[in-house]
Amino acid sequence: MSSERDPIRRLIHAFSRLPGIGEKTATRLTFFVLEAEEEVARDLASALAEVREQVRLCSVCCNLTQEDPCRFCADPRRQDDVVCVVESVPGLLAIERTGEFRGRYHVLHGVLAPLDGIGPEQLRITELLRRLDGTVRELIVATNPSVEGEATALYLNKLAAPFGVRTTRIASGVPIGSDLEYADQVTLTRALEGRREI
Amino acid sequence: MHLTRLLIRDFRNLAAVDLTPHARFNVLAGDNGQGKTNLLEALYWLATLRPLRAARLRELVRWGADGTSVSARVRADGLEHRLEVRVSDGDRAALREGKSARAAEYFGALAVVVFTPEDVGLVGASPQARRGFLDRAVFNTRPVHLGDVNDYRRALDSRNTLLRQGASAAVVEAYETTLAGAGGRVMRSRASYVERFAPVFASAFRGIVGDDIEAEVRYRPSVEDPSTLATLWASDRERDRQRGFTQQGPHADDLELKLLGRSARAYASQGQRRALVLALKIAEIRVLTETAGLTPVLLLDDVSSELDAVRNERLFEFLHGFPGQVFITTTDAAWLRLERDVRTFSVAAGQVIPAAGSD
Ligand SMILES: Nc1ncnc2c1ncn2[C@@H]1O[C@H](COP(=O)(O)OP(=O)(O)O)[C@@H](O)[C@H]1O
Ligand SMILES: [Mg+2]
Ligand SMILES: [Zn+2]
Repeated sequence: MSSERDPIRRLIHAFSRLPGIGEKTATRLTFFVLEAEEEVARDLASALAEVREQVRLCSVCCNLTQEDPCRFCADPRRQDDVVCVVESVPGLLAIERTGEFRGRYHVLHGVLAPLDGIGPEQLRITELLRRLDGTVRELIVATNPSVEGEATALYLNKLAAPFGVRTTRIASGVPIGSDLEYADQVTLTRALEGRREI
Repeated sequence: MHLTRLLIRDFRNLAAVDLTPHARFNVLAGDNGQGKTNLLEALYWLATLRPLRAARLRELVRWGADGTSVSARVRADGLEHRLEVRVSDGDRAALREGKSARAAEYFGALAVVVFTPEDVGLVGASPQARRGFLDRAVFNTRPVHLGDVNDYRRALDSRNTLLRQGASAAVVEAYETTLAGAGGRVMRSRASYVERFAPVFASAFRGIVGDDIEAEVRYRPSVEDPSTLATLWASDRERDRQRGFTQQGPHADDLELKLLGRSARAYASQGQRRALVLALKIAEIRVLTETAGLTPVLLLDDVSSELDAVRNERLFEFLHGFPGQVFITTTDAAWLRLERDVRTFSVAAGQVIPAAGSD
């Protein structure tokens, strides 16, 4: 049997393409699935298939969602004049967990990263600018404190200025070199409070 | 601070090493190509999380092995710390006290100063080599400098890429502002370090050669004022685009050495160059011990044979007065001037064992 058709090798290969998973871990996961009750494999397979079929981008904020608009955009109790811009959905969930932020969100799905070939066209920036129709007064840019995250914040500041929108950046408190999704709640809450004008 | 135990697994040609070093002098003796420099490199990696010679992590892993690990117990300020750095599954992990640590949490327990045969050529070398010396020295007094230098490099590569691609002005400008932030931090750290370093260097040089010849070291930034970086890059943008790279900035800084007011790079003799380098290293160590209150671990890689007999005597005079731990490699123990507080290890084909009659 050629290696591409060997189902064990195929699964190892599929796992090893996931972030943070090397050959060794992929092998361990594969044999776990093989040796566990059959239900484990069936649940995994159907969850994987459904997640792609049923989850799409929110037409307002580009969050991943089953309903369109997503629950954050549909919630009438949230403020419309503040939008928190995040790199990714895990970043959004991290901010949401603080319970401090009651505005809307916008998910960029990445940051400007010339070294990885990612420019403005690859990000959900057009969708963001479309939302600046007078209601939004402030963009809180909560990209990670990396080189790319900083540059993206500055770029958005430049684009938003003509719309009369104030841009702020969360900064103090988020440990340098760490990702937003790993920051603890206290740190993130303080970072939100201490946001500064770009 | 000093190491009380050192464990190495599958690092370069060192399959398994377990050392109990002396708190003062440790001699690693052996023929060429046996693994002496590899052992210092392992120590350097453990202290700085940066490889000394390798360009890629992969090169550090012993051929045929699937990972590597270097760990040590370090005594500092009466406390015992455990540090470990390893590569597994292709990724690097740093652990402090057995727990995975971010760079900012990791540094602080162990500082090393390394002195290699390449350093002996520093006076006549490229500005890049002198910047490397400066940044390593700054890093020991200010570990966040490493992050600033990395951020600067990343933002610089990004700007160059954007210029070559003909990206829009708004994107380039966003990167120039980010670059100016990191560049400004890098420049300010370098400048304030050299301010402390320069008088210590001048006095170290007098200690080596006597009073009749004056040496001077100065920070020579490519751009004088860090607050002008962003506007300067904006006005250079078109020319940089044609060149395909960023011409001015902290990546073009230099550390200038002068003898009696003249450029050492152009005029110093062979012997004077060696004296200058020795003074640079001694001053780097003194700044740490005297002004930062930190006694680093010294890693000397067979430098005696690169220095001449006179300079070598000065080196050992300095080492005798230095209170901390020293690892010194040699192919010929005849160069060494050590009588007491020495433990000798012999290094052969990647095996490191206490030499007979040592201690
Ligand atoms: N990743 C590696 N795996 C195994 N051996 C290596 C690796 N990298 C370098 N070496 C070997 O290490 C030896 C050089 O060791 P080194 O410490 O530089 O010698 P020296 O004792 O002269 O300082 C060479 O024989 C080289 O082939
Ligand atoms: Mg060597
Ligand atoms: Zn939405």
